[in-house]
Amino acid sequence: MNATSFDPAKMRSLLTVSHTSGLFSGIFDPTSQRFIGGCIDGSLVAWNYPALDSPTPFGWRHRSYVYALAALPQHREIVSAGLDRRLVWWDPVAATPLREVMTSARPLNLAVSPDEQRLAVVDDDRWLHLYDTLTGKLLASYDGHPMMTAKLKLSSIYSVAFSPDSQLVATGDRTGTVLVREVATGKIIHTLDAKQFYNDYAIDAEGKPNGGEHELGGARLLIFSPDGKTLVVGGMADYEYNSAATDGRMGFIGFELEKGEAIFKTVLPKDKGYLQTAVFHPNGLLLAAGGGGTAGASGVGTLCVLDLAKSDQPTAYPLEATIRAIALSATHDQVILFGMLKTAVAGHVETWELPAPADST
Amino acid sequence: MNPAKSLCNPRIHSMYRRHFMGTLGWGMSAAVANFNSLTGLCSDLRADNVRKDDKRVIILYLGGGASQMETWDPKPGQPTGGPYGAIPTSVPGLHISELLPRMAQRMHHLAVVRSVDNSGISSDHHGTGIHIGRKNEAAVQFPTLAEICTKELVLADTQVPPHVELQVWDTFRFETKHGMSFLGSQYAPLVLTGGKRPPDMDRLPAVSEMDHADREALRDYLSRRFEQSRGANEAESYSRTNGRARGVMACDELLDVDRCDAADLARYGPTPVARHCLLARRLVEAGVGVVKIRDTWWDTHGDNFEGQRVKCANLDHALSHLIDDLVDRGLMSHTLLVVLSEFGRTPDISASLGRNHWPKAWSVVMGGCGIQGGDLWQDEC
Repeated sequence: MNATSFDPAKMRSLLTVSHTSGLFSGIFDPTSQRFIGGCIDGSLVAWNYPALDSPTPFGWRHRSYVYALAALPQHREIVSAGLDRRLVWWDPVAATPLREVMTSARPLNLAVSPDEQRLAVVDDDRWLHLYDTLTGKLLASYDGHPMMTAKLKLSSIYSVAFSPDSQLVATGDRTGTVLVREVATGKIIHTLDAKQFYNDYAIDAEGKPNGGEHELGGARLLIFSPDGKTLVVGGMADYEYNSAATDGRMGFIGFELEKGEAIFKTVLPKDKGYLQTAVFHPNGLLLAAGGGGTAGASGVGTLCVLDLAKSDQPTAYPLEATIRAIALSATHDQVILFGMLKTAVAGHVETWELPAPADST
Repeated sequence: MNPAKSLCNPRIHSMYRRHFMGTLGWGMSAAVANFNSLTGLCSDLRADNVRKDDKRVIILYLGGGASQMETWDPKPGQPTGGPYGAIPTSVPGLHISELLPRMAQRMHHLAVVRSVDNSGISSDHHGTGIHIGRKNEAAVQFPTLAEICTKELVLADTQVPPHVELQVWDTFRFETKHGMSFLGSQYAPLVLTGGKRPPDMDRLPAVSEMDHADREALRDYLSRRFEQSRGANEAESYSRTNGRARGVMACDELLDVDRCDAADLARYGPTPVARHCLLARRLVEAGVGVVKIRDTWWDTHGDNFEGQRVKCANLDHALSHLIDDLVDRGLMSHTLLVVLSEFGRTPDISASLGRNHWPKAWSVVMGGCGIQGGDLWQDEC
């Protein structure tokens, strides 16, 4: 098949496996040629590709949820971030830890620059830290995000992404503020407004908006387009009800980076919860996933495909599981989803086939 | 070592309601009766009024249901324990959530009850169970704990409001508003919402201070004559209500959190729950008997860990400053501080990372008024 193309309308679920601990993070590791997930029990576990069999736990575990994972193919390592305030570098083949860095706050996400020179870590104290990817040496720390939300709660930075040329790094927070910086200097070149994903809508007993304390949300997903011209922000938009559940609808905002202006805003019609994770397929389509909404006809999770050129026509597939991480297989013909099924202690891994269009086979 | 066994203090096992009320034994001072000069109570001398034997109650109500796992009863390392760790406190062997680092240094002032079970009286926000201590009944409007304290400890005759409820935000949407109880209106709270003083409490501009006083004197003269000739309870009630209204009018500065000392405002910070804790401290110093701070939106059916984390950060800051002030000003020995919700949250974590309602085993902390700080009550005892 043509590995650089697929038909979003023909995607289908291939394999589903369960795990004894909910999965908060996950990657495809080119070094070990395995899918690796980070669990709420602090462990990392690897599954063979493509069979998703023989789950193998790593030889050490974090003391809290493993919030993020990233592969370092050039270094043949992977790195994990845990809420135990630890960054851990691993040998993915031996499944053993190599080195560890303690952080001052809880790391909520990380990203590796495409040139593998920098590891960016964002935390719940609203800092962006840049580390030397190989040594783990802290190179720079940047603040600049609002300290508090409109409802005077401490904000956090939830998302981080590098541009394809490794020159820019973007960070997104609870308030829906996205900062785009130069990696070399830390200079902020854009402050982008994704406040559509900060939800403080509340209504009183008569159903009238009353501006209460209720709030949810944030810019949970950031990803640069492969050409580096567009930054896509994802989250939970259009919250119309002040339930304490995450029942807003998933949404995207696309920003054109040259001018720092929003060029599209897309809200999925049925799919609820946070849009949490995304990856660009080599053919240019964006595969994104998330969940967390109350179960309904649309399911509790969603896998969707977005063509940036036709941003008003996303393709969405409902899922039974809430998805926290997505990864592409080495041959780009499968996507793997990591998450939780019904409860956080029930890990869920699912692969989907990305079939080629009929005219390309 | 089982910390529950080592920390369990049999004294609290014998605590029951009448004992509790007896501990608070009330002798309301008339020192606050001069309501025309109540604004002066914001001076440094105001605490002297409450260093006498009179008791006060502050209830910090975390509406929506704070998670015991993320506050006073952490279970790190358990599958359902959540991502946050437990930290040691100023009480050896007692650990609380790492989300409350300032409170951890002050736990020797508080007792923790980790085995509260109110499953028989309320499991959703619609009930008023935890407020009234029993199942709600449509035919009878039972008084709240705060109203009972107001009646038994304080204070119908005070001229500052004896019972004030500070609604940090709007009342939680799903919670039934509590109506007038059978105890009567004199024990119902004066409700302040969002740190705002009650509306329409200003003297009309057309009525001078002198005219206002003259009118009150005439009203008082006529009321007394009426009461002497008729001996009617209604007249007494009317006079009491009138006196209350005048007291509230005179409390203008007292009820306005923005008029607190600038250093206090800076220390407590801008969050609504902190500003209301500061206001609560001012109110008890000024002689208000019962203050309920009604925080909201602890209801985290989705995204529990982020929701509880940001709420706990504000709670930790606010509550720790309130305790510091109560201790530093000598108020802790006769001010009962209770922190509770309508229920806790489930040990189970949903796939949306939420915890749902859990009335079967959750936590309340309390301190002051003779309660032994550092005590712990949980099922293992």
